[in-house]
Amino acid sequence: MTEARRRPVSGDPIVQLRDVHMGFGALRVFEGLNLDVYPGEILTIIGGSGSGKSVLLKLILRLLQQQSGTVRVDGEDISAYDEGRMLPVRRKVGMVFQNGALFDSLTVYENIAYPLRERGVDDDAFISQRVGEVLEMVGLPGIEPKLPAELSGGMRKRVALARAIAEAPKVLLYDEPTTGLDPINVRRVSELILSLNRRLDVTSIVVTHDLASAYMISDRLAMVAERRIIAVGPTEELRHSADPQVRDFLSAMDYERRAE
Amino acid sequence: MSASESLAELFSLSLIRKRIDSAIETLGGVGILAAQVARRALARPLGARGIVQQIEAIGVRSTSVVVLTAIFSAMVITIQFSVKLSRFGAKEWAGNAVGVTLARELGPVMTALMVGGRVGAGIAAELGSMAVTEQIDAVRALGADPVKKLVVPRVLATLVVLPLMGSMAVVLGVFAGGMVAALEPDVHMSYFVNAALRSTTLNDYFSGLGKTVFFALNISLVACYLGMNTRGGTVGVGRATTQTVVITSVITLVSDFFLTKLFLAIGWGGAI
Repeated sequence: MTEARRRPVSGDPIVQLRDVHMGFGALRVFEGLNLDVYPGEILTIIGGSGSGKSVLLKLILRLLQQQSGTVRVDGEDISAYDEGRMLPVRRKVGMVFQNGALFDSLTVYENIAYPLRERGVDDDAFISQRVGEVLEMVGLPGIEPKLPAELSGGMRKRVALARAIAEAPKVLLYDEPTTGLDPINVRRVSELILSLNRRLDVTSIVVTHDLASAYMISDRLAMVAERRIIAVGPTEELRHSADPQVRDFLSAMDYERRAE
Repeated sequence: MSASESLAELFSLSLIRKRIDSAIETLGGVGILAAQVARRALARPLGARGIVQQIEAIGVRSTSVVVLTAIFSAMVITIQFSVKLSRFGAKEWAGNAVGVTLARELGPVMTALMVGGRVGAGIAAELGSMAVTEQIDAVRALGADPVKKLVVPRVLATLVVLPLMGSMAVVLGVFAGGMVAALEPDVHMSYFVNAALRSTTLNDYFSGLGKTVFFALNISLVACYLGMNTRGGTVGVGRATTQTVVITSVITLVSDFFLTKLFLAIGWGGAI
């Protein structure tokens, strides 16, 4: 991987969080978090376990709600949106959940067809073609009739990815896409994130505590600690930063990885 | 921690307050869920396929336990009534007593307790596993409404199944009671069954049926609420499941008392 392929950021942010405060009861997760994500980039959010990385993704989909501050997706301020008004926004944002979150009782085919049917598509020929297409993209053609329980962890994540791109979203959210996978699958999924980002022209926001994978795929990195984003910038810049806070953070992340 | 300390903690005020708080939170949550279900139940698309699937699943799950409970509890009360009534030379009245008892109380309450245990636990475990593996979040993220998709079919299916099961329990119970009564030398099964059917009025039957409707809402809504709000992995699923059984049973037993009072007050007193 060379630096040349890293994309420079430009344009207006497609996802924007401003002064976000969020917590569960007495537990404070974010206090004054700010983040801008630009069209077409792969932004990786890194942070220790329990730092609220997954919460951040769920705020963008409004699966969780911030207590104050604004969240904008593709120009819309969704801070006061109810479930009904979120429907069109959620169509623009696909999410790959940590362990896939595939529906156990449905086949791979029905899992991927789910978002299409929810949108009101009932043309079976179209659905079947689209399901085949996205499975091809994640490198798993022909597994439509299988149940999620019959798949390995890596395959499940790739099917989840296929389901997330079935509706051709503008933004893809990945929650710990490489956690729990063996090195070969880590590499395969990382390359998939990279190639889909370029091929589908989507914006990708990846949450991970896996530094190696983050370095490999990210255009930019954002670091979550102390209930906010402490640093954000191009991958190479942060990686070789002289800022003591950034250096401390990266060595702590490295330590956490080795402790595992 | 010593035994006396843990005992002291068990009865400490802060813990009692926490318990009460969480009970109120659960009740409030179930109430909100009930309102959401009411609003979405008739919204299109109806999702008839999902409802039929749930009726099948819930019906199949509960039939065997309901049949077994109905037959044996009816046989036991028939024996008890027969023994006591024969002291007054009124053994032939056993059918009347068993019929009314089954229709008004035992049928609906026993069915609700068994179905609450079987079906309620099943729903809580199913939705609980979905919650801890983020499948419920996924439903929302993929543009669907988990209340409409997951809760409404289960609530409607339980509303259909429980009154049917309760009615089945009454009918089976009367015949099971008749069989046991016929073991006595001078009692005929047909006499017992006729007495039971004659003495049981539609009022009795409807007061029992009315209870099953309420019990069905209790079981399905509590199970769905606790399932959907499960946290903390597989341990959380276990907790949600046992909580569902405990809470639905307590509500069934307590509300049965008040429903009985209510039905008597509005004149469904019938033949007692």
